[in-house]
Amino acid sequence: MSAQGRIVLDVRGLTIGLAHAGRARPLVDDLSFEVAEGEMLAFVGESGSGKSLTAAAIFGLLPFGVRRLAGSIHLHDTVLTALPEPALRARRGRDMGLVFQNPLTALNPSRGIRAQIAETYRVHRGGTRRAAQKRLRALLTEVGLAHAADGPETYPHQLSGGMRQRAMIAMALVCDPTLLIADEPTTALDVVVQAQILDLLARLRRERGLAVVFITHDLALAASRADRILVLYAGRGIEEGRAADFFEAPRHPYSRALRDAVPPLHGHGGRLAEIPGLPPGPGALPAGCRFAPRCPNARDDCRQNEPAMRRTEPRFACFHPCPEAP
Amino acid sequence: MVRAASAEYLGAALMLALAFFSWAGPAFYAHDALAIHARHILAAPDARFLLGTDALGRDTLARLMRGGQTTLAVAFGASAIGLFAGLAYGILAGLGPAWIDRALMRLLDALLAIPTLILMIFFAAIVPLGETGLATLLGLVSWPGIARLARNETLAARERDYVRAARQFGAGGFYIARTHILRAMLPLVIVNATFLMADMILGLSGLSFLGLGIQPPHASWGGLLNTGAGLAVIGSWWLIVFPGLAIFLAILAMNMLGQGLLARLNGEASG
Amino acid sequence: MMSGLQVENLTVEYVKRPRLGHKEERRHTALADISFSLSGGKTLGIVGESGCGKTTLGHAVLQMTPISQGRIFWDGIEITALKGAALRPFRRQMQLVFQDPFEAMNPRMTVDRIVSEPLHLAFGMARVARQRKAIELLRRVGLDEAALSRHPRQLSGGQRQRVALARALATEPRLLVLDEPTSGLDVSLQARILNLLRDLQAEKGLSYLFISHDLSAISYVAHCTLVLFGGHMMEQGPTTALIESPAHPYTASLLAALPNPTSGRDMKTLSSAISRASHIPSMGCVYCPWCHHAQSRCHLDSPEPTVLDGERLVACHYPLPDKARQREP
Repeated sequence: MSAQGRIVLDVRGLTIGLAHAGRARPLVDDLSFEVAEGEMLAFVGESGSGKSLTAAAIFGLLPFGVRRLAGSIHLHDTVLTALPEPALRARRGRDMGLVFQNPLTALNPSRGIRAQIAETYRVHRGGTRRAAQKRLRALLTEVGLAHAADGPETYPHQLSGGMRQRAMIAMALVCDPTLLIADEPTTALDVVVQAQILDLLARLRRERGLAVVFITHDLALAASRADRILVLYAGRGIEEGRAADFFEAPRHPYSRALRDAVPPLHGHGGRLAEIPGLPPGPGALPAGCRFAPRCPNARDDCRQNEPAMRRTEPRFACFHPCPEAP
Repeated sequence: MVRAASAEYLGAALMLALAFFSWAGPAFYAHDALAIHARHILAAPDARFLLGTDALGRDTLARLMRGGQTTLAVAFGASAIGLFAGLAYGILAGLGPAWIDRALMRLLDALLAIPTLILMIFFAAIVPLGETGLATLLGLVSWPGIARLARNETLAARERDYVRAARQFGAGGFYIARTHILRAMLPLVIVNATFLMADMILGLSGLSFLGLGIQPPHASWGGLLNTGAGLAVIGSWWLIVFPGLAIFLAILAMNMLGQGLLARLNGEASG
Repeated sequence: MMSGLQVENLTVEYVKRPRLGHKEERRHTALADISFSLSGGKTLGIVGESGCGKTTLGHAVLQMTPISQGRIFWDGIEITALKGAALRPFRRQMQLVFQDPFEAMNPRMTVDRIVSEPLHLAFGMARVARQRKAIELLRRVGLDEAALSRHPRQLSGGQRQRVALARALATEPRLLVLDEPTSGLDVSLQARILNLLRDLQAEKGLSYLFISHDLSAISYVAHCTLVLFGGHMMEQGPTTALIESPAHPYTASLLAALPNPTSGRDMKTLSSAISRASHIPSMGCVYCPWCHHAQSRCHLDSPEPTVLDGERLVACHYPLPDKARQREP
C-alpha cells in the first residue's frame, strides 16, 4: 500500500452467487481486499470475472436473483453488510459514489445535468435550493465542467462522451463521499479523453483523499494509473500487488498472459500472446486451479488442488508462478 | 403487466367469438336473414324469435349474423387494402431518393387535408357500391396513416448498419425492403393493422348508418342501426341495442388486441 | 497503373439546414483534402479521437457517403467516376467491418442468414452451397457450426466481431475497412482478433484500412499510419517512425495519452475538457488552440502538408525536431 492512510473500505471473504444456485459456482468467491484513503485500487479481469458484481455488492445493488452468500463489507467503522436496506440506501449516494461505463444510460436524458446533480444532493443532504446551487457550481468547476455551471441548463445529449462522464463523476461526488467506485469509466472513450478522466480522478484523490476502486479490463491502464492492482479470474482474486512493479513481472501466469496480450507500442513483429480457451462459464468449475485448463505452467498438482492466495508479499495464488525476472 | 398481457388474448378471443357467431351461427339457427314473417312484424324477443323481428318481420338474430359477415369481411378487406397501399407508398417514399420522398409526402399532406368522411360520402353517393367496392373505398381513404408510419420506420431502418452492409454487398432496394425493412417494422405494422381494422368497422358502420354502405335487403350492423333507429323510438328497442352492441364489441375487441400487442412490443423494446 | 487504393484530395462536406432565423446554409467539413495510398497486402492505420472524421473517411472510401471533392482509385481505376452497375464489382472487393458488430447485424436473422446474405447477393449462390461456404467462413474466423443457428444477441462480443468478419470476407474482398474492430473487447479478445486479422492478411493478401483511436493497436497492425484531427491530416508515414519520433505536436499528445505502465504513474498535463470536435477554428491550423507549440503564424495560416525525412508528410509550421519528439506533452 502506497499511502498508508486510514482504511476506507474493507472487504473480507466476499462470496456472491445465485440465490438458487443448484450446481452453479459462486460468481465471486472468497474475495478480500481493502482500500485506503487517497488510494486507487484497480480490479483487472475479463468480462465475467466478477469485477462488476463486486462493485454492485458494495453498493447493495446486486441484480435480481444474485445474493451475497458470505463475507463482510466495512466502510470506515460501519458494517454495510449488517445494515437494513433503508439505512444502506441513505449511505449509497452519501458515503460512496458510483460511476458507470455508459453515462448516457445512467443520466436522465430529459433533465438538465444541474437539476439532476442538485436533486441527488438534496435527497441526501436536504437544505435549500440555494445551498444546493452553490455547491453545484463549485463541484462542476472541480470536475472541469465550469461552462455548464451558468446560463441555460445543459442536457446530457449536448455533452460529448468525456463530458458526460465528468457529469457522472460530479453526481457521484456531490455529497462528498469517501469512496468512489468507477466501473469501466473510460472503456467507451478514446485515449485522449480517457487520459483526461484519469487525470481528474488522480486530482480528486490527491485533493479530497478520495479512495477509488477502478474497474477495468486493461492491465496497462491499471498499471499506469492505480496504486495497487487486484487481478480477478472467474470470481477469485489471483494476484495482488503494487502497480508500479506489476507490469514488469506479474507472477501469476494469468496476469502475465493479460500483460502479453497488450500490443507493445514499440517493436512491430511477433504475434500477440493469446490465452487459449475461454474463461469458465457460470456452471461448474474445473477441479483444482480454475485457470489450470488454460495455463501454460499447469502440472498435475494444479488439477487436484486449488492454490490459495499467499498471505505475504508477493501475493498470488499459484503453485508454479512465473519467475520474478521479466 | 398481467392486465396488459391478458388484453390481447381477451381481444383476440372476443373477435374470434364474433366471427364464429357470424359465420357458424346461421348453421345452428333456424331463421334466414331474408325470410319475411308477415305475421310477426316488430315482434319483441321471445322463444321463437330470440332477438325479435323488424318492420318487415325478418329475424333480428339471423340478420345480425349475416350483417356480421358483411361488416367483418368488408372491414377486413378494407384494412388489407389500406395496409398494402400504405406500406407500399411509405416504403417507396422512405427508400427512394430524397425528391421522391418530398413529393410523396407533399401529396400525402394534401390527401390528409381532405376530410375522409365527406370524401367517402361523395363517392358512395354517386355510385352504389357492392361489398368489394366498399372495401376498396374504405381501404383507399385509410392508408395515409399507415403510409406515414411505414415511411418513418423505413427512414430509421435504412440508416441501420445492417442495411448499409447489405447495400455494400450489392443489395437492391426491393431486396432491402423485403428482407430488412418489412421485417423490422412488422410488429408495429401488425399493431397498427388491428387499430385500422377497428377504424374500418366503425367507418363502414357509419356509412351504412347513413344509408350509403351495404344496401338493403343485405344486412350489415350499421344498416340494421339505420333501419332500426326510427322504430326504436316507438318501442322496438331490440332493433338498435343488439346491432349497437355488436359494433361496440367488435371495436372493443380490436382495440384490446392492439393495445395488448402494443404493450407487449414496448415491453420487449425496453426490457 | 498502381495496385491497391489511392485517395486524392478527398473532401467531404455536409450542408446543414439553415437554423431558424438564419438565411445562409452552414457547411460542416468532415474531411478536408485527404490524400494517401495503400498498396496491396498492406495496412494503413487511421488514428484520431472521436469526431475527427475517421469513420467518415472509411465510408467515403467505400462510396457509402457522398464525397464533395477528390478522387478515389482502386487498381488505377477511378471508382469515384463509376455509378450503379459499373460500381458493383468494386463494392464487392471492398468491405467494411462496422464499429459495432451488433448494430451491423439484423437482430431477427440467424448467423447462418447473416453470413450467407452476401453470398446470395454478390454471387447468387444456391442455398446448399451458401450454407457450406458459410460454415467454411465461420471456421476460418475461429467459430464452429454451432454458431449458425444463433441470433446475434446470443453471441458474446468477441463472437459477434468474428461473425462480422466472416460476413465481410464472404464476397472475397481485397480491401477491408476495419472501423474500431476491437474497441469494445477485452484485452485478451483484442489480441485474438488482431492476430486473426494478421493471419488473414498474410493468407489472402488483404489490404486493411484500420481505423482506431488507439495508437497501440495501430502500432501492432499498421505498416503506415495517418493521423487525423478535425477532418484534417496532421501527419502520415511509416508507423514505426511516427511512434518513435512524432513530428506533429498532436501525434505526440496522442502518444502521451496512452497508458504507460512501465514507467509507473505519471501525471500528464492534457488540455482542457472542452469538446474539440465542436471548437475547430475556421482559420489557421485546426489544432492550434490546443497546441503547446503554437505561434502567431499558426493562428492565421493553415499549414500545407510537407515532406519530412523523405518518407512522411507533416502538416505543421513547426514540426518537432527529431530529438525532442519523444514523450512530448
